[in-house]
Amino acid sequence: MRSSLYLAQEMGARLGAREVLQRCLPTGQASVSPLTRHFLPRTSLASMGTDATLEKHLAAHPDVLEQLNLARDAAWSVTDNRLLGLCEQRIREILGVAESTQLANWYADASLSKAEKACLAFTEEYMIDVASLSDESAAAVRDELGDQAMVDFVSSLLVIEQRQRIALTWATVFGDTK
Amino acid sequence: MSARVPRVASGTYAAVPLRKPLGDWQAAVVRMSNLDPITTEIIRMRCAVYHDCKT
Repeated sequence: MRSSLYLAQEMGARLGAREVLQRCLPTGQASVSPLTRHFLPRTSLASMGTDATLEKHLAAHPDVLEQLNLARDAAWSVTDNRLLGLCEQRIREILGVAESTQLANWYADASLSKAEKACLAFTEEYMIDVASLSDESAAAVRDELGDQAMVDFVSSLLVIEQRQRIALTWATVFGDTK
Repeated sequence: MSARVPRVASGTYAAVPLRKPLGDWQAAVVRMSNLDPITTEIIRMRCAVYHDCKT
């Protein structure tokens, strides 16, 4: 994620800080707290698409875009696609860019496996505060997947999560291309 | 601060097909040069705190 935050700032360097802040705030919301702002409706990233957003804003940096997409492809190649897809959906729901909230009550969904629920719980903690992710949540994933698959899963989670965050940041700051 | 407990076996790394592009992507980002060094360092430190990163 360090790279994603750095990249977001790098691309934002062409704007002043005040302008960046103003673009992030919906009209009339200039005085709300950061916490309140977090739960405000987001830009229409869902309609624009993550890939299209990244391709547009990285058009002048093809080497970066290429590596970012190679990492994406690799993430999906080393991790169970259903599992990663569920976690990607939950990430988009948490960020407010999903078209639906089908996993809002995932913990009560009997159709999900124990491994999938362990990974969804992990994903939620990862999204909210990665440094505070509990040993219990990590152990639950490891118990279900094993060491190697857990490392691959977490690395893949990083890849798909940073794509969503970068695209959301750029769509918010620079606007939609629809 | 309490000592960390390893969560996976020592020596377990992401599969090569994923580890390489991740490293290459991070290197490509760092090679960008629009951002001034001071802001870059502030971001690096902020990220390290956010991630509880010890490196």
